[in-house]
Formats: sequence, C-alpha cells, structure tokens
Amino acid sequence: MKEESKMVEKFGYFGKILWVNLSTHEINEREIPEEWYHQYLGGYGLAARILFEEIPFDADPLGPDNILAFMPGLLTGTTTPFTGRYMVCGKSPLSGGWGDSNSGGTFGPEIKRCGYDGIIFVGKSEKPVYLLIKEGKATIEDASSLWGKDAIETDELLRIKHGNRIRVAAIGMAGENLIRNAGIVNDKGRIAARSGLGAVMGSKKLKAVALIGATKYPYKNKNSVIQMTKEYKDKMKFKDLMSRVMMKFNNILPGMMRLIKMDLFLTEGMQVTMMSKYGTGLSTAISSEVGDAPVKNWNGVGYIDFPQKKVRNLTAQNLEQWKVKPYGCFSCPLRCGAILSVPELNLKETHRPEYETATAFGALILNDDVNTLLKVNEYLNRAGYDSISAGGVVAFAIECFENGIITKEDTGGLEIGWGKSESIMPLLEMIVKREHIGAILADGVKIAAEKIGKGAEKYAVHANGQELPMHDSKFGPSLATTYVSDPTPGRHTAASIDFMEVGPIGKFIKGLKIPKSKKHKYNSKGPAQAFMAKIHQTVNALGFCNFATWSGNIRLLDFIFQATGIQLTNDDLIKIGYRIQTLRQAFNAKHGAIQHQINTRALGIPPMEKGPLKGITLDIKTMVRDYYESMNWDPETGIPTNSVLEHLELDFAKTSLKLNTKNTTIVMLP
Amino acid sequence: MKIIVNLAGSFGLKSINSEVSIDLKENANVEELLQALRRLLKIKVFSVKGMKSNFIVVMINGERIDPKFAKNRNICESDYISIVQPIQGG
Ligand code: SF4
Repeated sequence: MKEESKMVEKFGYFGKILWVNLSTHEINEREIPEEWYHQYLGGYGLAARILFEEIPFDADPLGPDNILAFMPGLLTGTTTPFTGRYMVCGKSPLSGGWGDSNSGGTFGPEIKRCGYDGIIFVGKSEKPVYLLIKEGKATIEDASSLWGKDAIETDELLRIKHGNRIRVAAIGMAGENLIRNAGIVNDKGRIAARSGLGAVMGSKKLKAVALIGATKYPYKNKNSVIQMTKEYKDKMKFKDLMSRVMMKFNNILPGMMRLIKMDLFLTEGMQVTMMSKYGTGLSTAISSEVGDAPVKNWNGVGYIDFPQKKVRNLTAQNLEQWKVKPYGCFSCPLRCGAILSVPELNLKETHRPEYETATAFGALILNDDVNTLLKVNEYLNRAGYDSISAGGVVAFAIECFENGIITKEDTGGLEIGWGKSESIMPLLEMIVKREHIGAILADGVKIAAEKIGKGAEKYAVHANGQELPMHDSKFGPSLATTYVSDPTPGRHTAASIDFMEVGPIGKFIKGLKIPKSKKHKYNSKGPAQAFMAKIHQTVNALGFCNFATWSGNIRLLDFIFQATGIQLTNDDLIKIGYRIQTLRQAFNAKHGAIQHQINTRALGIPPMEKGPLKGITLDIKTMVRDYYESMNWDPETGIPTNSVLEHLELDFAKTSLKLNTKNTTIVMLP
Repeated sequence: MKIIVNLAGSFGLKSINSEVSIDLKENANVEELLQALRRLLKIKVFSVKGMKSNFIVVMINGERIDPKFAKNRNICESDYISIVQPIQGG
C-alpha cells in the first residue's frame, strides 16, 4: 500500500464492520478495503472515510439519513497502554457538521471482541430497540421496557437479562428527549459526551448497544505487545516512585533538577502520581486561580468571583473523603477514575466528578456546594447529558435570568441565579424533560439564544453551536483556534498546542519535531497548530487516551507493528493524521458547516480589566488563517484545496465539496 | 500584619487545598512571605528557587508574580494571595 506503509499480512483488524439498518431491521457485515486501515487506521479515521460518502449533504442530523458509528481505535482491544477508547461519529445536531465523541471504559474493546472494527447504524426504527451481539449473533431487540429508564438502570437491566459480562452503551432521558447536547453512556458513567450524538441515537430510537464477544484480537505478535506493555508499566512505576522521592525531598531539588536537566522527567512522573490519585479534578482549584477555568460564564475573575475558599470545596482532594476505590479504562496503567460512596446523598456508588464537571458546575456558575456537584454529576451520567454543555446551558440561563431576558414565568416559578445551588438540579430536570424554558434550552445555547432573542446571544458562549469547555482560550490562545476551526468545534480534547504543551507529544513519540510557537505571539502559531492537528488525529484513531501523551515515551511504532503488522514511520503518522483531519474538514465543507462562530468572551473582546487574563485580546483571524495556510487549505474559507486532496489520496472528496461550499469569514459573536 | 495565603496543589508529597494565616512584618515582600511559609509548613519548595523552577506560582490579586521581582513586590493585608502548583487538568 502506497508510500506510508508496507503491508505485511492482515493482522490487527477484522476487515469488516457490522451494518445495521434500523428502518428495515436488516443486519449485514460490510467488508472494509484493506488499504483503508493503512490510510485511516481505525476509530474516527475509518469512520470519516465511510461516513463522508454515506451521509448526504442535506441529511438532517436527527433524521433517518444520518448515520451513527461506534468505532474502536485500531489498537483498542490490545494490551497497548491507554488504548481502550472508542469513538462515536455522525453528523452533529449542534454544529450541523462532523461530530465525534470519545469514551473509555470497557465498551470499545468489546466491539473488537465481537469480531468487528466498528458498528454502524443507518435509518430509524419505528419503536425503541437495542442491538444485541451475543454468541456471535447480532439481533435487534425490543427496548420498549427500557425506554424511559436512565442509562445506568438500562445497563443494570441488560446485565440482569444477559449476564454480567455484557458491555452496554446506552442513552438516558437526554438522548430520548433529543436534547441536542446528549451523550452516550457506557460502564455506568463513562460518556461519549460531546457533539450531541446521544440525540442522534435517540432520534433513531436506539436505546442501547449491548455486546458480549469472545473473539480474540488478531495480533501479529501478541507476546511482543505484552512484553512491551510490561516494560512500559515498569517504567511508569519507576517514574512514579522517583517522583514521590523527588517530591519528598523537593527542598533541595529545584536547583539540583536544573543541574541534571530532569525537570521534564519529574513532570511526567508527577503527572502519573497525581493523576492516578486525584484524577482530572486535581487542578480544579488551581485552574480557577490562574485563569484556565472560565468563571461566571466567561466573564468573571477567579480570585474575585470564585475565590479559593469556595472552589476548594469542589476539588478532588475534598472528594477523597468519599472515595471507595480507583478505577481505570481497559489497558490503562494510570487509572484516573474513582468510585465514590456518599451515603448522606443516597449515592451508594457514584463516579467521581471530573475537572470539566466540577468547573462547569463550579466556577462557571459560581456554585460552591459540593453536594450539588455530586448530585448533578450522578444525574447527568444517568440522563446521558454532556456535563460541559449542560454547565454552559445553565450558565447561559442564569445570565439571561439575571438580566431579565428570561423570568420566573419562563422557569415555572424557579428562581435561578449565580451561586444559587438549590436551583441547579430543578433547572437541569426542566431541560431534560423539556418543560417550560427547558424546551428551548434543550437545543443548546446557540439555538436557544436565537429563539429567545432580546440580546441573549451575548451570553451564549459556544463555537459553531457547541458550548465551550472549561479551558479559557485567553489562558491558552491556540485553544481558540481549535474551538473555532476544528471540524468538531468547541473541544479542548481536539488538537491544540498550548494545552498540549503541558505534556509534550514530542516526548510521547520519539523523534517528532514540533514547530516552535510563542504563547501570545499570534502570528507564530500556524505551523505548530497544524502539526498538532495532524498527529492528534493519528493518536485518536489508534485508540489512545489524551493522557497517554502526557505520560512519557511509548514505543509507538513498535506497538503498531507488533499488533497489526503495519509498518509505519513518524512521517507516516503525520501524513495519516493530516489525511484524517482534512477529510473531517472536507465533511464540513460538503455539509456547509465551516462556520467560524465564537463568542467574543473567549477572545478577550473587550479585554478583561482584572485578574490573570487582564488585557488579553486574541488575534483569532491571524491564528486561524495561519493554521489553514499551514494545512494548505484555503486560508480564507478553510476548504481543503484540490492539490491537498490529491496529495492525501482523497480525490473522491473533490466533487462532493462542490455541492455545498460557501465563503466563510470568522463571525465573532454577539 | 496578618496575611491569609490560599494554597492549592501538591507541594512535596502534601496535597494542600486550604488557607493559612501568617504573621509578617509590615511591608514584607514575596521572598519574606515564602521564607515564613517555609518555616511554618516545613515545605522548602516555598522559595524563590521553587518559583523559578516552576514548582509553585505565586499570585497576588490574580496576577502572577515573576520570581525576578519577588524581593521588590511588597505585600499588604488587603492583598488576595494564592500559591498554586502549575499544572493543568483535563
Ligand atoms: S487516563 Fe483516565 S481516561 Fe485515560 S484511559 Fe486512563 S483511566 Fe481512562
């Protein structure tokens, strides 16, 4: 196959996906051309190749023409550290463009254990159904008795029916009620949350996907992969130990570390040590202080509006009092998750809130009540509602309420406001049930602001329809580029240099040379942003968790070769990522969804007058233009050029682009 | 004067998310604050060296203090002071 890989033999994939037509209830297997695995790997790479041609440009995201794909990464199912992820893909009801979402747990590997490289749903069922794969047979089952149940109950009921080995991905009430920010829940609390794909699943009346497989991953050389995994884990344990020693004696270490140039080593070690203990919430208090966390719907200042005495209630350190056990996704040596038990709230077993949730329901809306955070976290997991977007919607509603744009009449008498913790759960329930103003908020802040009018769009903090995550782009400027120009907008887990600089990808994959850029020099960032956008796609398509890239070097090319027989170089990794990112962008061009809308609060227009982000205004036009130029896409419109499509063997995309291209300029909202 | 310092992060092996109250002479500077904290908490990363090595970030009224100016930056009782570990979550 082509220049970027040499085919050896067929290992590491099954060469087929399960194709489920929910309109006709037909189930088929579709063969995937072998070269696609070499060109797109797996996960959303492979999905982009399939969905680009299969979803018509005028498909309604919530109609039968949309397609929903569950795609494990190429290495998912192997012991390769951090690769237990799967991606859900389809046309997003939030942006009208490419949608994908990523989740861990144990569901992704189970798709492989069923002998498939992906499961794809087309059409729309008349009645609620779920897909069952058991003993090598796929059937569509009646889900009438599950409809109306939350995602965790659904998981439990399917376990009772089919045995505890079953792995379930399900929607809750949010997906059923077509809340545009709905996600898909697996392992009773991991959620493929972003892009609104839970609503797509709900629109297809697909309640759950339930899998029990027994197929073995077709390794090229299983022993080698296991051996390399062991070496990686040993190295990780050593780093953990070293970081503990260093932290213990850090009274003498700062100077010494500079001398022996070990600062990065410590960073990796600390990352492992701290993340495995506290999870992502380890930085909840820090982030609101330094300007990383958006405060008061992106218009506040941490030390003034949400000082430490408030935010510290919500930190992972405070949540330790309820911790029962840690847990991790399949094949993960870091294990950043934890189960809590909070008897006083009647929560026998609940997932520890992540940083994003603790900030979206903390600093963003000025809630400092930890009980509310715990209840909200559990509720959103059960409802299958993206906590980032849910927080954004609540913040929007509060600010509209505070400014008289919505009133008690709209909220059914509920008084909402900054820091009014007791009103948060009732408001969320109102949205999920689509009652009162909830019926409008259920469509996300962009559509809600359009419907409400009266200047509400000022408070709608989103990029191209998706609410922004809990990382202020004024703190990490290239995040703004990502938010506004990535095919799935408003994502902190999409490629971005400032965020990723925390744990350089150049250490994760040896020999990568990341172009240099300066944080606030806005015309210096294009090449680095493009580089990160490319490599990030490859890492995702292989099935890696983002945190892998923060945890030090891995023998990536060896893992790929020993698992799949595909021989790649670093240049191949970059070209494959370039191809995937370009195809995702081409999907948006085809669907007229390159929009470039972003709320000015994310850009520092007008600049903040106080706090760590004081005076910062981002030059978004330069950053986006330079990124497009570095991708060799049209710098004005972001549409991939014909020469790039040819270079990346994406010729098939050329005609489709002509269907629905339009000039786009960056629209700063409001 | 009595100064309240907000601590957030893991310093040494101690994870601290709390505030400490500390007595300082009038017009004390950041370096003196760190010295006092170091004596009180026995965590020696509370030092200008610790700032330079990026183990800690000192912020006063929401603004990051450059370690170069630790000696020149005076503190007063009404200042909001925080010391955090420079890490970012996900
Ligand atoms: S680091 Fe956390 S989210 Fe990532 S794979 Fe491991 S347990 Fe899952």
